[in-house]
Amino acid sequence: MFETIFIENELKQNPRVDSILSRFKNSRIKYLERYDSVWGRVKKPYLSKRTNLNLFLANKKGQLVKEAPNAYGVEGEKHFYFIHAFNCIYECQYCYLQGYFNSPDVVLFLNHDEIANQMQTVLDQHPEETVWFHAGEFSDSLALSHITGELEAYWDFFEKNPRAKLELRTKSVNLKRLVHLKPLDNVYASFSLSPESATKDIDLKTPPLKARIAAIRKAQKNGHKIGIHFDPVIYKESVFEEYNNLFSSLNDGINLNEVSYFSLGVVRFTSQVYNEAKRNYPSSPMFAAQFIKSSEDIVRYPRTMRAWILNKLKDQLIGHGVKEGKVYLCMED
Amino acid sequence: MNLLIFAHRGEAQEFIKNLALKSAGKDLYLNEDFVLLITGEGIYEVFTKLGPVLGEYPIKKAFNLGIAGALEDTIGLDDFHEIKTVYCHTGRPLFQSFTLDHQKDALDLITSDERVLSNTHAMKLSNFAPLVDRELWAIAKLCNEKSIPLRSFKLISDMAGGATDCFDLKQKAMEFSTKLLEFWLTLEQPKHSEDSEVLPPMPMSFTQKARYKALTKSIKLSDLDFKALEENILNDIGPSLTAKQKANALLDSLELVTNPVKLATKTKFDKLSTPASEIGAKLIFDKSFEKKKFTLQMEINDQKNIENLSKLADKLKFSDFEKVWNGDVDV
Repeated sequence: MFETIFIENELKQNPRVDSILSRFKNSRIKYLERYDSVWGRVKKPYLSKRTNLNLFLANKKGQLVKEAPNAYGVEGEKHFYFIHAFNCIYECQYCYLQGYFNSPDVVLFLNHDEIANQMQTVLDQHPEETVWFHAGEFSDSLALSHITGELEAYWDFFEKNPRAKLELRTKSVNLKRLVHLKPLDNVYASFSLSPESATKDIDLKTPPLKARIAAIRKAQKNGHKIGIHFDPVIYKESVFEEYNNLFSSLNDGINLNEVSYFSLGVVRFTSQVYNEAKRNYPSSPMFAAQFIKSSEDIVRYPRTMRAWILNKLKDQLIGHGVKEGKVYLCMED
Repeated sequence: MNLLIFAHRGEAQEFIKNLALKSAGKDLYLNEDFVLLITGEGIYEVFTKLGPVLGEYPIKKAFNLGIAGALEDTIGLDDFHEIKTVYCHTGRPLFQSFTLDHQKDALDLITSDERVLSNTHAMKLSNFAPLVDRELWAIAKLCNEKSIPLRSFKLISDMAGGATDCFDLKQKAMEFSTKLLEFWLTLEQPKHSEDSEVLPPMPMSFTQKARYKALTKSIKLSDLDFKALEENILNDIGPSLTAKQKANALLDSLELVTNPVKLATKTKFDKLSTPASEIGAKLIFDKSFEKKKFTLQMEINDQKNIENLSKLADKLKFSDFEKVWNGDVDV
């Protein structure tokens, strides 16, 4: 998977590093002072992740927990994201990471204790409020969790602070660590789902839809709280039929009443990411529909089109037994 | 014409001979099909020599051939590698990189502004790429400026670092040149593929053609049968329409594929605007109906206009418009 693994010198004695290296015996190992003396110093093409992907193991300096934009999650509550990794092993064609960083190389930050400390500070700054901490802003939160050991590090914090909520956003089916952890009322594993055709043609290298649904079923059976993101929705002529089939398939083995929240969102890009995506995936079916640049420099479907799509899908979802109050629309005013 | 770019005369000599290239100036050779340039060593030599050549000759494609050093011991000496992405290091890594036209299995390369004579230097460069040379990044930068497709092929001459023997490399120039030429002759020259122009099925204005081209490009990315779709639309277009109207009818129908609510949205807003147009006023919306607002425009030249405007205010309800913006359209 990784051609070279770069390790910060200060992590040389870190036992977590040895554990990670033991899984990648064929990778070249190099040491450096700071990960960003190499990572991101040159513009490494996004698609080079297909042939020469590197891994950096580092301690994150500076601000580790940041406030999330409006409409990030459930309305009326505070939302933050924490930085545990940069970049993802998957290759979803709409991913904003392709226009965000200068390199697709994966960085795993191993100073989880410091991240948890900063979360405590943020929580203390918002007394009596529910505060969400989202993982997966710059990476998939479960895909490599079996090698990072980070879930265990955060679990303690969330067990002690029921007012803090953790969302683990993922397209992965990797529940290896999750199933060994005690389910907490304030921790949510939230799975992103798309219809079969989109999963195959656009969410490149992600697990197949059936496997993802099975993972949701397993996590739910183990007692973990679940969220489901139908985001991004990509318009095609058969979109409503395909989502209807997707919603039907969820009923098979998943208790939809027990799912804590559902979100719906249509595909959207910043201009920079849109241009990168067009360059990287010029033949992608996601460019078949009409896009406009809206006032916030976001490239997306025209307003009435996206509202129409979201309303119809919301109605369909409710038609499959989901309570309306559990459905929120992502990044829509 | 195609351009062959070499750093050293030694590397180019067999090409000059075998392609029957004639001297056209210092370090410059040509025949009907090729221009061959010898830049000299280093990025600054490239900037000096290559720029004028790209400006003077109608270059369709550029090829850089030469030797490179290996920065990883897994790279075999005397192997040929095509280059994928080229980086640059001038005492520090430069941010800008260029990805060349390439086939599969190409490798990255870093151009160094200095000869790599120490293992420390080699190790620093190896963080970015497994191969090193002295010129390619500059060649790529200039070709990129002129939008000229570039391919680069390198013969791995040595392990870069403390063991580099520049004198030895000069002695081997003829040998390298022969190998490079043999390799070059085995390459399948990729055919220059022109963008096949999309021809509309009826006369169109310049603007309509641009719209048709954009819509065709988008729709062909979907899983719809474009030909069948277009045929169906054409069959439904009324024969009594003017040429302009027919073209617009085709374009509007194609646009429905990419945005199925566009027509319904416009129809609804037009209907809601009727009370305004009846009194000579206009409701002006944002182009894609993206912003949740409109402007009311009316010429007032009589007290009656003001009275009509006042009556209009009772008829217009913003919530009716909001419903449309919020997706309440019949499709």
